Amino acid sequence: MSGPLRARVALVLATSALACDPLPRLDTVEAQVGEGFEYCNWTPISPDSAALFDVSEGLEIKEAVGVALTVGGYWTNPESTTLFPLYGVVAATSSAPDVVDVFSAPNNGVALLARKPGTAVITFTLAGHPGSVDAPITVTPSASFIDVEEAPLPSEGGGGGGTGGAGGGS
Amino acid sequence: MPTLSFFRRAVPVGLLIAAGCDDESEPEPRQPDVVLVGGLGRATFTYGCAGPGDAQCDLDADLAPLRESSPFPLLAVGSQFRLAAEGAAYGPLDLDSASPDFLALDADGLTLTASRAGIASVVAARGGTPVDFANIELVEPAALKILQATPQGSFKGVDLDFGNGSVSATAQTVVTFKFRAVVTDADDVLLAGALPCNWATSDANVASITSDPAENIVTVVSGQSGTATVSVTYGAFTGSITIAVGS
Repeated sequence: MSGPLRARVALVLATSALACDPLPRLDTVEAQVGEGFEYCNWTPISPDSAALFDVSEGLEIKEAVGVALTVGGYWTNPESTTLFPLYGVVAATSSAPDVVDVFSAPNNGVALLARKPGTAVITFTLAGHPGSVDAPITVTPSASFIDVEEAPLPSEGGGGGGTGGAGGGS
Repeated sequence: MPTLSFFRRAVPVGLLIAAGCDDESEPEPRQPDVVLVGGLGRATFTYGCAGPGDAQCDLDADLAPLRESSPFPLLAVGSQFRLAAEGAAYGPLDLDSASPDFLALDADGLTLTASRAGIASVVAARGGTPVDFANIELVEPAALKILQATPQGSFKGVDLDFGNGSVSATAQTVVTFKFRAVVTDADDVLLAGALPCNWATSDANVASITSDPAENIVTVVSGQSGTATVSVTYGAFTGSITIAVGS
């Protein structure tokens, strides 16, 4: 192969590679609970962001309650581990709609309906982007649900407590 | 069945005849709608009465304790109420219950029955697709209260004394009293929702009931001298008022 031809093939391959450069992959979904936050428990992303949580860490909801989430999708740069926000319409589906039903609303709103005690996995996707994020949801019977924020501290209650706490809201 | 005997001390009522009644009744102001905005902000849920025995749905200012206090009331377990859902972008919406164990939707699609204490979500949907939801608090009633209103109209030449649990009138006139049965939770907060209600009098010659005994507001008119007990069964509770009519 001649030099100019090799150069042309290399250019075509490079262009092709650019054209096939995949869209950033959704790998993280963060959420904040609005309506119904007092009937949920989650693990905050950080003490400075008590209202925000990574949905892959899960969410506990009191039985029969409806919860409104505002979610944001992110792609993680593997080199810097920095999260970059992704934009698009969020879709969510439930593995067990009879336990946790889900429907979407504009402006990245998602509603969860805790229909009966049990567990379900909510899968979040973002239109136009590959990848998905699973959120394990636990629906706790009404009588046994304890709001972690309201629960006694370990020093006061002789143990127990939680890793997270309800907070935020809109 | 929890029973609370509400006993008002003998009410000395000097009643009967005469004394002109200057009835200057004014039209009742329309009660403002009690509305709950959905959690996603896409629908509103407007409260409505499912029956006459609902403390939220009052027509008498003296007996309307919930009118001023609640943006949306706590509902008594065992009671019924109605909701109408509407979305600005959708128009009227259908109702659904997230958990029928807590809140059961009747076949009419409007009336809900509170079955268990807790927080229950009502869903507004269009064509089977959920649009929005609202959380409603359902509370177990703990006690019955009987509220007393001032007599209807104003009575010229009559010395009426409404004190703490007692009524007296020194003039000889027939006086109409109104009482209302309501239930409260363990913290003494009034609960809304229509509960089965029935009023009865032990002696209609002394104290007669002139209103629908199935309403939680009762109208009692004094009659001849004597003592009568006006009792009410309201939900799972009972209460009574002793009315003494003097001569």
